[in-house]
Parts: sequence; C-alpha cells; structure tokens
Amino acid sequence: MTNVPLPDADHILRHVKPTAFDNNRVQGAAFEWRRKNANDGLSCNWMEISEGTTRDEKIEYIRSRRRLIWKKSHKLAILNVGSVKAAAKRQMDALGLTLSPDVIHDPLGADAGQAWVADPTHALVIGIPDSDSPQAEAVFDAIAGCVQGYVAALNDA
Amino acid sequence: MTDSASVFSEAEARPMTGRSRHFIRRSGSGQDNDRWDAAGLNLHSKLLHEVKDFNEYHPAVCSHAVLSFWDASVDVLAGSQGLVRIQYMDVAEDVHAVEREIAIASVKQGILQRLKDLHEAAIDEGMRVATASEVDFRRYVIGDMKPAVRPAITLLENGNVRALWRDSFGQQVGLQFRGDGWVQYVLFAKTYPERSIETSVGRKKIAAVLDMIEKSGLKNLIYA
Repeated sequence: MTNVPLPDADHILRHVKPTAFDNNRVQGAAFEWRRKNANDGLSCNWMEISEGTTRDEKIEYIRSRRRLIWKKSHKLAILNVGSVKAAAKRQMDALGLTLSPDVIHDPLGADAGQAWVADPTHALVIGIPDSDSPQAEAVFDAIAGCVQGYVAALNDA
Repeated sequence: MTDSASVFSEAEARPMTGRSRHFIRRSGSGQDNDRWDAAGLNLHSKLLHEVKDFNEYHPAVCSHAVLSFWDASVDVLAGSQGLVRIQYMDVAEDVHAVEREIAIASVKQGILQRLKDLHEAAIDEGMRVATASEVDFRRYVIGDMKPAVRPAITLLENGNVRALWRDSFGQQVGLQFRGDGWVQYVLFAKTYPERSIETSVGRKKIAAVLDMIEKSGLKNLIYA
C-alpha cells in the first residue's frame, strides 16, 4: 500500500547518528535530509505495521530490515505521526511556507544485488523542506521537539 | 596538554597578590584526594574542612565541588593534575561572580569535550568537521560569548558545527557556523503579551545575530 498516509495516532522511528544526539536529546540535525527526486521525503519506519506484538518485537523487526550501517552509538528516535505533522505545519506556517506535511507508507522491495531484504515498514515524511536552508533547519528543530523517546539502534542482547 | 591544563594555564597568568581567597574546581572524579596525597601535600583534612564549610554556606556552589582556601595552599594544589583554578578574588567579592566564572569554565570544558567527541564520531561516520565552521565556533562561542549554559552541539551533513540552546517553554537559539563570521540562525522567541512563539531565521554576520538574540530576549538561554 504505497503512499497511504499513516494514521495520526501511529508512530515512526528515525535513525539518529551520534553527531545529531547531544545533551541526552535527539537534535534537529537528526532530521536533515536531501531530496533525490520529486517524490522523496524524510526516511523513517512505521512502527505499528512492523511485525511483532510488543514494542520491542516491532523495533527488533525494523532493525532486521535496515539498509544503512547502524552502530551501537546510534539511536532510534520515536515520534508520533500526528505530532510531527502538526509541528511541521505550525513551523512552516510561521515561516510562510505553503507546504502540506504528511507521513506516507513507502515499503521497499528486496534488492538481491545489494543483499537487501524487503522493508515493509519504510515510510516517508513528505511536504517538508530539505537541505540546508534556514527554513529547513527550523522545521527540523520543530520535528525534534516532537521526539517522545529513543532506543538504541542495535540491541545488545 | 589537556583541556583542564589549558584552562589552568590561563588563570595562572594572572598576578597573585597578598591574602586573597582562591576558588578552584575539582575537574576529575573519584581519586582526586589520592592524587593530592600522592603529590606529597598532606593537606587532606584541611581541605575537607574547607569543603564542608563552603558547601554549608553556599549549597548552590556545592554541586561544582568548589574548594576555597588561602593563598599558600593554592600554588601547590592547583599544580596537581586535574585541578583547575577558575579565579581568585578578595573574600568580600560577590560569590555570584565566582559561581558564574565556575559555570563558564565548566561549560567551556564541556564544549571542548563535545568537540573532541564530534571529531571522533565524524571519523567513525565518514563525515568531516569543516575547519572554517569550527574556527568560528571556537572564536565566537568559546572566545567571545562565554556561555554559562552548555549548548547542544551537533555536526551537520555539510560539516558545519551547530550550537543550540533551548528552554522548556519552546524558546531556542540555534546557530550554525558557516565560516568567515557568517551564521545561519533559527530563533524561537516567546512574544508578549500574546505568549506565542515567533520564529526568526536567516543568515547574517555573528554580530548582527547576537544583537537579534539580545533584542528577542533570548540572552537568558545562553547566560542564565
């Protein structure tokens, strides 16, 4: 079900490098992204659609689908979909940007050439500015303000 | 030279006169008392007594593990590894000024440690720290601004260093150092009497941004 909007009550995970985590908080730098094509957005994972019954099982499944290198020093930020959309919208309105933020399902197929398994949890935050503009930075900070918590990117157990 | 030693050296350059009171901060943890003894000082009980007195009288300072004692002890003690003398002043001088100096020095050490961590993380992540950005960050934040609150410091994908101060009311000062004195700023400031948050973003020279911070009433985030 590609491009289906996620319910506001659901949650997304965003991978965070240690360069974007300080003072025990996930910072706006964690939400930097660069548009590769017109349909692109900020990459994340949809927690509720992940396999498993408990939160830990769902997070573990998302870990098993990763395509980037995740390390022990990395985190996964947990955010509520509705809060992200509202905070981004509020900030963009304040900046005079006429974009409509949303979070959509963007499942990824397997790629044998890269040895990647399918990731049915992949999602995108769309309708937000990208790159290094002051406006984008303000929106990233607003999204960082929605982080409900974080877990280790890798499970030590 | 360690960061601690660097701070100490700056303080050491000041002239010492007469019967002044000295304030030092214990920068290490755990085995400091052992180190003093190892230095052959044998002032253990005297120091503990001073700490007890000082902590009881100034509980707010206690968290910084402040010691105070008289001139003769200072030269010897401050020379021990792990000790940083912040400032000396007359006994009559306001203790808040001392607390502020201590906070600034502590923040400076925290910032330097974070920069070191960022360099290590950058190598680990295949990123780079842009030299022009770091030079400006060091010059303006550590050198000129002397914050009393440690900002969150992050490394952006373009290699620039960013400092962020925020409070629990949603206000913030975000400064991305772009080199040559230019800063990309993101300010969230509460407005009165509306009490809504006003956003200001853009790119300006650091002096103009500092002026904006002052006029927006956000200075307290940095110097509180």
